[in-house]
Amino acid sequence: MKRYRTSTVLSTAIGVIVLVALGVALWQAPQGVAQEQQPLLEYPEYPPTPTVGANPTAPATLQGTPLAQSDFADPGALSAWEFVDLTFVLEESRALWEVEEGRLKQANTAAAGNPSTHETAALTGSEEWTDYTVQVSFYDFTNGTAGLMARYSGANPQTASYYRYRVLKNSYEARPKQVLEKVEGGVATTLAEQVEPGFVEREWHVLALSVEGGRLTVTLDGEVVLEAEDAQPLSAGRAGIYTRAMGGILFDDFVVTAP
Amino acid sequence: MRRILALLSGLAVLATLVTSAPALAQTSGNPRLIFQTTLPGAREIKFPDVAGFGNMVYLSANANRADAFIWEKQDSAQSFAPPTRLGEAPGQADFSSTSVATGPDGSVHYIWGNQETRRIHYRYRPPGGAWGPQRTVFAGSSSSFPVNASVEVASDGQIFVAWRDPDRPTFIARSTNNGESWTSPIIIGSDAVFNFPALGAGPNGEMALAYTIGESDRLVIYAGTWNGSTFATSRITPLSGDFADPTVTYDAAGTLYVAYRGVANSGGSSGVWVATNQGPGQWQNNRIVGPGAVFGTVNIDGDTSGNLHLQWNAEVGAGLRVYYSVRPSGSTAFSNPIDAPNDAGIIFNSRLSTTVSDAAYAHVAGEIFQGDNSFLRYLLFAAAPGSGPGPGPRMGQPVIEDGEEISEKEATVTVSFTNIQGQPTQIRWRWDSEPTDTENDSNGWQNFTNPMEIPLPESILSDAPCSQERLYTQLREGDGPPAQPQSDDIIIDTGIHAARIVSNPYIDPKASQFTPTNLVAGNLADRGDGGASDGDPGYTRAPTFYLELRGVNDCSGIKDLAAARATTSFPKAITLTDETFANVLGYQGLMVEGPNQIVVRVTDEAGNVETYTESLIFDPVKPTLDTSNPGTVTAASHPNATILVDLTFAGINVSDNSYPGRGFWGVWIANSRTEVANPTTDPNLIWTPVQAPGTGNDFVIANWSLATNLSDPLTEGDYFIYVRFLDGAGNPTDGYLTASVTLTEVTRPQVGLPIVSSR
Repeated sequence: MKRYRTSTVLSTAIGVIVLVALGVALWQAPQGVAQEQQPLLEYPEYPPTPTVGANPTAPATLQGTPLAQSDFADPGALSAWEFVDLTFVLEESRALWEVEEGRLKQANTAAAGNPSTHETAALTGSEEWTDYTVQVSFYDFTNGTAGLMARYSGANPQTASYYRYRVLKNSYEARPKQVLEKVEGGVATTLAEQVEPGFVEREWHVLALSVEGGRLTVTLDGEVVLEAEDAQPLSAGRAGIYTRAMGGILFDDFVVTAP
Repeated sequence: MRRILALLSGLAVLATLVTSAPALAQTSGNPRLIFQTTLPGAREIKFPDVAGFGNMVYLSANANRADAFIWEKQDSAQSFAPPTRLGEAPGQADFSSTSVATGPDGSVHYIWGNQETRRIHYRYRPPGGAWGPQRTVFAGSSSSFPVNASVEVASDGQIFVAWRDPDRPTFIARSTNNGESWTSPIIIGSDAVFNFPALGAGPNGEMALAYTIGESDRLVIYAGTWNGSTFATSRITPLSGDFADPTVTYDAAGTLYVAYRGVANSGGSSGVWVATNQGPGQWQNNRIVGPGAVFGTVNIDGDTSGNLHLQWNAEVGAGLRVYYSVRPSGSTAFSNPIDAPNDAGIIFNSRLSTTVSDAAYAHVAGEIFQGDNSFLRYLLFAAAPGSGPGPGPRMGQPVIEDGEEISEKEATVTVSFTNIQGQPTQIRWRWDSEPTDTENDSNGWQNFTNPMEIPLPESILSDAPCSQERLYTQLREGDGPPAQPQSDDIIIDTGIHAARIVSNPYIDPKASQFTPTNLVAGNLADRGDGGASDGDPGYTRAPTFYLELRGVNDCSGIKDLAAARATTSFPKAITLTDETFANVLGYQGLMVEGPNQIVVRVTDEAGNVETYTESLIFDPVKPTLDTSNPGTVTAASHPNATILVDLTFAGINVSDNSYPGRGFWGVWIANSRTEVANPTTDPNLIWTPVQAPGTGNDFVIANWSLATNLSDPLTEGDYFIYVRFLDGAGNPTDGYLTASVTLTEVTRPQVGLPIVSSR
């Protein structure tokens, strides 16, 4: 009798456990199945993806007084930045930026992580900044657009005013590959451009944009690539990093110095 | 007891199977890419759509922030007819998207959004008929903003349109009379939908809906079918991962499928998933492929032959590519995915539709982003053998430079390959002849990649402009027999071919296209208060310059130019009309006295770029006539034509800061019938520039007409001639010389002599 009761209790316990498991399984079943499935198919084999590698050695230390600097070693560094979309997007499609492994990463959009071709920027600093050089290193996987901004002012990114330098990767068909422009009230006017070259993907590059009065100078990997003189220069504003909300790009070693 | 344990064990195994066993076994297939192309003339493309019926395929997209277009072609054709504009789609492309569907009779149904009016419009084309009038599916208000609309037609002809409002659920409107009237929108569920809601029509009047919402801090997929009054949807993905961007379809047997993606780039939920409906609210979810970052919708479409086609975009390895797989009719397995070589840009937001004619085709429409804009990209795939054309002896079609007709002069061309069959590993090629074992340009068989860079031999690069070349390629698998050679043509534009002039902005002659700008206005009238309208071509007195450029038999045509003081300061390029430019441009930055560099960059349509460096001397300083010893000028009238005089200059003594030699380029002459007290400021004198002959300080200006720029009547009496001296830039001396002549008789030339010449 005792044995019978023991078996009954054991059977009942096992039954409860299994039924709970089954219940959970059946509860899950209409909504899908476990997530650890091995995929049924395989992608074609591709050559190994190049590794990012160490950050580049920046060209000679910028002369002058440091205004801002970040190596993004700490995710908390993001608190010093404002991330904006330069065209109108729905809230769910806003560009996402994050710090990952000590670098600032453009991480697509909030729309389920989808990439978007809209322009986005990471801004920092003071609206009182006038003459300075903003410099950053970048490594591009798939984005294809990198750039810097200076003297950014305005509350609405779509109607703000600033200087912007942007450069495309070489494999894009679009030209010019490099453009230095003045954006006033959201309307861009080209100050200088280079048809080509752009930049080589999957390599580190160092960009710098200097604004001194009406004089603008851009260097790419230490070489002067664009210059312009603006007769009616923007007076002051924040510095920033520019790209598109397509993910696939890292920034690091950001520094702003005043002459 | 053993029975109980056996039963419980069986239930446990069943539970395990329900939760984890893939029902689709893996086998191999042989789908292939037929071709891909970028449709011309449509920019700012966002969220295109595609639909097929019979042997026709239709693409829809808004373009240029203005137009709702539809393109069509036969399914196997490799080009589209020019698009038809069906309505206005202004505003930001994201919010004025289009959608197209076909009805069971082959009718075409088209919707598009108008961001400005916040409306969804519809047009219908019956089989063999014309497009009907524009209808309104939904008219939004200030509190609604319909976006991401899509259309689908059930097999009973009922038209469904689904859309969403930001932060609101899916809306559905229906029409049973080809869009003449629409039901009021009904709301599906209560949670805000992300991205596009997707519709799919079944073979027996069914209509299914799938969409993404947030639930318990997860992104999940909901799906369900139309029950006559609403879509009864339920969650089909677990709460242990994030999933998004579904599409939905039925196969020919009426089984419902939902394809979607894992949002994560890695881990067990990442990749492409297909859920198969197994009864009301019952779904079996299979992870088709992963890991890898999948972006945008995962597209699934069942064709009329029972094949199930699957397409998505993913970043795998070092590239973002378009992938395609097919489950042939009667099979339980999808083929391993193939990718489309992509060297033209990055493809987003693709859509899939299928047709069955001489083969089972999968048509993909997507946006291709090329750095500054999105264009409409179309890809045509054929399904596996048995559902499409079998492998033939000709394969590996080369496509040079993404199908462009003309290429710039570069050391290599980019060649992608379509219609790949099997797994070719080697390639050989030859320009302008088929490759053989002994005659080829590839130095024998080489490793095959797709795409690949193929060198242009020096004989082609140094060929005449616009040389037409044909590349033959041949693929093989291992040491197996080679496929038949395939070829593609390209015209090599070997460089910029243009004539150019950079010169003094004030001088003549200028091209007939020249239109003076305000950069020189007021200075060309020779009123004496500025400078002369002629001078040395190498000088300027203002920080401007004249630029003239003409294409001269450039193969692809001259496209644009830019001029700057340095190669690092080119302004935005000026697009040329008819390959010609002629105008006065301002100099960038500060022009310094003396030589100034002007760099002109010219680009042709093929992409060749040439940079020319010129120099112009900036001289804003007037020359000086020595007041103590200026020299003399005398006038002598011709006996047979008294209004013509020879002006003889002797001992002219001018100094200038930059013009070499005698210090002046020419003279500035004005006629008057009265003596003028101060010729340099007299407003009535009209000055005419004349280049001084020779290089010395003594010279003669012959046949000067006393009638030049003289408004007074030509009568007998005194004529006064005032002369100032011009440097190369056209700056006049303040000092002047005077000559006079008294005519007792006025006679004019009897032959067609030039009014002014020099000797």
